[in-house]
Amino acid sequence: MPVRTRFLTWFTALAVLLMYAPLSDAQQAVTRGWPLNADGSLKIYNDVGTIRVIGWDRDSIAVMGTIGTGGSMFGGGDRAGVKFGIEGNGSKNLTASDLVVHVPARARVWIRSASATIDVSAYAGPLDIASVSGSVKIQGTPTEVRAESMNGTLDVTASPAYLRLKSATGAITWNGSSDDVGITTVSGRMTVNAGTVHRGRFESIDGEVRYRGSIGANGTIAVDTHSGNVLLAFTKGTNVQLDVSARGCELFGVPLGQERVAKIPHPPKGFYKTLGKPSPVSPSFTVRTYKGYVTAVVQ
Amino acid sequence: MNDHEEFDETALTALREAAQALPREIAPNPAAWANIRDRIEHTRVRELVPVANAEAKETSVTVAAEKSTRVLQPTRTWLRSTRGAALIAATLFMAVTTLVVPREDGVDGARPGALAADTAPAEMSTVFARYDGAATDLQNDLERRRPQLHPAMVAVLDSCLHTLNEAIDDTQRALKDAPDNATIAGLLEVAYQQKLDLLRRATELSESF
Repeated sequence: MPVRTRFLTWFTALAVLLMYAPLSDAQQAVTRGWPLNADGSLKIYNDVGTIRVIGWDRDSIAVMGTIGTGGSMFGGGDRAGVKFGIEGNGSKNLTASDLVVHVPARARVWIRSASATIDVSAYAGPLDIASVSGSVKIQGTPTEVRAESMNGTLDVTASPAYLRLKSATGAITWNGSSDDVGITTVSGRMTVNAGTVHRGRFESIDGEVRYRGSIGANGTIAVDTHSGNVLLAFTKGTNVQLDVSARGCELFGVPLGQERVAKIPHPPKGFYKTLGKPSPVSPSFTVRTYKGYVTAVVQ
Repeated sequence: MNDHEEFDETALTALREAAQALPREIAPNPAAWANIRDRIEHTRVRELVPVANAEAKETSVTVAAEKSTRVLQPTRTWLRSTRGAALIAATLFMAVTTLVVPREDGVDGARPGALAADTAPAEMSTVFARYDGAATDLQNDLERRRPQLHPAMVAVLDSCLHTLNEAIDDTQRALKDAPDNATIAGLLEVAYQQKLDLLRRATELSESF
């Protein structure tokens, strides 16, 4: 065989190998669909990869995406409820599966993931999301939100009537208004950009809490931290009775109490300030912290 | 579980019959949840002693062996003493409230609404002991499952439990020095609730996968 022909043969074989090599590792494409009532329930499981949920105005679910190696899709249900997800088939080396799921915009959606990131948009029903380390992002007009991630971040831009966000070490950011909100973290930073909150509870152990915004008439908000600092930035014109229990704080430019870093253990002290017009029905904002420093400003 | 469109009807019928043959209830293993069962038994509301006759209502009920496990029927003597105790408690409450209600410009004090505001230190100790017991049970359960837990969850759990235990130790020490400080008691309660919630969430998440 001439050298040139031999070279061409080897080159072709190599090209064919390279062409097919990605396919052996390639993710498997998936397209599935189920009918679901507009107010039906949906459960989604995906351990690794991404889950993107988009609300639409049809009474069906459409799933598109790719399944990682070692995984396969299961699913089933009826018009009232559907459950589907990716399972590992016993493989410990499950690679990322990426799913884009269109759901009826007012359905009840429940999602669980291990490290998969979750993104929900254009959605208007109740949501229940939990992940171990995946980040969660929600944008839309959900009626009710329960979302938690152990060390993933939670980023929510929505104004549901009822909101519960929880993390262990992941940062939490919420932009919106709510009648009833509860945000809890152990060590994550909490950032709240609130429109109007009527009843709010924000708890952290050593994570910093930043609250910016206003409070509804007769609203009650409570912030508790162990050693996390608290920064409150009220919008101009806010009427509020501020009740702070801390070792030290700076309320509207006035430093009160102890030093910023307290070295000797001693109990927190109580400080009170009224912002705006004093009234018996003014909303109340209570902050309790054992070691944290509280700063309140008007912006 | 891959494709549900195709199935064997005979196998499905057999599966349904096998499922119907299963008992409707299965008693749990007595060894499981022993600690939790003990605590439930310990805090169970006891049945009232049935009144044998009218005379028994007039005098204090004699109890022997049942005394430790049953609640006594209230008697007039007991009621009289209760009224007295309530009067004393109300007076004490008003006095304490006057002294402890926080004032302007940095006076140490209690914030109303916290657990400690209307709970005696002894009762608080009992409540916190129960938090401890519940947390220990959940933690033991998670320890048993540790090999099956997601590695990311184990790391986060260990780190957060360390942070929470430090916060609990801090506030417990402070509460020993200032047992009437409602703010510290409230913060201790928050730390305990967070610890329980974290353990519960970790348990639920580990069961989801």
